[in-house]
Amino acid sequence: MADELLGIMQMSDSLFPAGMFAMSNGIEAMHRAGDISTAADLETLLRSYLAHQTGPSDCAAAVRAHRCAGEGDIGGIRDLDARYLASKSVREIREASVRSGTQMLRCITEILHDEEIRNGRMSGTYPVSFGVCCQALGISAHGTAMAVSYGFVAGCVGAALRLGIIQHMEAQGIIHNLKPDMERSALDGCGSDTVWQFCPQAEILQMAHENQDSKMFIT
Amino acid sequence: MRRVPRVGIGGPVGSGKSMLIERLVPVLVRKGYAAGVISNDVISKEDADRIRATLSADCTVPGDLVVGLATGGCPHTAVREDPSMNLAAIEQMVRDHPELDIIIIESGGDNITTTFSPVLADYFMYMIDVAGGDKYPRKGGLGIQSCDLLVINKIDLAEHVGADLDVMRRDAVRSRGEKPFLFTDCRSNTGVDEVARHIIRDLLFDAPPGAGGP
Ligand SMILES: Nc1nc2c(ncn2[C@@H]2O[C@H](COP(=O)(O)OP(=O)(O)OP(=O)(O)O)[C@@H](O)[C@H]2O)c(=O)[nH]1
Ligand SMILES: [Mg+2]
Repeated sequence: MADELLGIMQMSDSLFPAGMFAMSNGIEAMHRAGDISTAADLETLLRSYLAHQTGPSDCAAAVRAHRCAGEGDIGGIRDLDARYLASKSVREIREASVRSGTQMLRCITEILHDEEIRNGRMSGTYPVSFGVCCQALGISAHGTAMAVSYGFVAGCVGAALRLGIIQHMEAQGIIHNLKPDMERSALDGCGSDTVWQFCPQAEILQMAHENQDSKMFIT
Repeated sequence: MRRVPRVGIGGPVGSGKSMLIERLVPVLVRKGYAAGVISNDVISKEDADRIRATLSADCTVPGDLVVGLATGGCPHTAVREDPSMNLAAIEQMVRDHPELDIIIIESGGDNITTTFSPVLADYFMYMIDVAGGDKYPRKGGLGIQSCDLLVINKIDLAEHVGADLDVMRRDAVRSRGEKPFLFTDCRSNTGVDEVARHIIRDLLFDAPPGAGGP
């Protein structure tokens, strides 16, 4: 098995074909509503996302899926997938998650020819698929959660950059400043045996995005 | 799942990709082929809505056979580096309509280096228009050079923008060698039958409608 670090880099690279380039996670809607207009606003939002959503929900789901996959517990993965899906109240987010997760699974199945992840009927939500794929690539639970956190932040920062909210140097500044928060969110996910999130205000704005006419991002 | 043959259409903003689809699909449908359309658009689903309205009126293509995808600021990413959104949409479409003979995928308007991933499209058409200037076939770019069929649209505008079609013809041959190109005027339906003939011959290998079977 190749070095874990290379697997983490591959899974967190924006080159990975899972459609993440088209998601802003509500940032487009918040920007349009005037709620986010500076690098500081964005950093505050991402800090809050990491604490109330990425850690307890996405990292936790990925880590649990990773564990189930390691134990060959397909039923556990299916159950987790259904629960995760049910916890996402925003349609765009739900659909994007399933689409990305399914495509990610397909890509990893293609390169690994792994029967373990080929079977199992489920929606294929993103973090759950992510955890399963990381297990197949020999990435640890901690590495998995770190990759989820980083991928989320990098995706949001990339969207903000394209929306013109921040400049390229600020983008790297935000990623740097958020490193302790990403670590904490990953640790949260590793230590949790539940999957939860609490960010109602962000969700309401994300729902507004569904009804926007002209948009650059699918979430 | 059976692979339904797929045409990718790329080209700069406003060159007439959506209008070509609106003209082309009725020709295919009249010949008996069942066609589906996926229209990638940078920031809206306006083109898809227009195509759907036109096609349901002109040749009764069911509404769910025209799908709009908003790809954001990276239209080339969605058809080349990361075609996952398009592949997911195609899968859904083929599941719902196993009778399809052909799927046409429009890329969002983009620059002249756009190409389609061969995983996404089996036949790649690139569309430019004379209003962009008669220099375009000469400039080349991966899209113009590598496509299976180059379509040079809006020839009705040539005289108004001072574009010389002979120059475009000469340069198209120069930059593409043997590979075909066609002149069209989608507004008056000129050249569209010829585009359909190329697709049926070079993508479908003259297979009759329903040949792939559900
Ligand atoms: N004069 C003339 N106008 C045309 C022709 N083909 C298309 N148009 C017009 O050109 C405009 C753009 O056409 P579309 O079909 O929307 O172009 P498109 O390539 O799909 O544009 P994007 O998807 O936005 O990049 C429309 O107003 C069409 O009516 C043509 O052959 N001649
Ligand atoms: Mg169009």
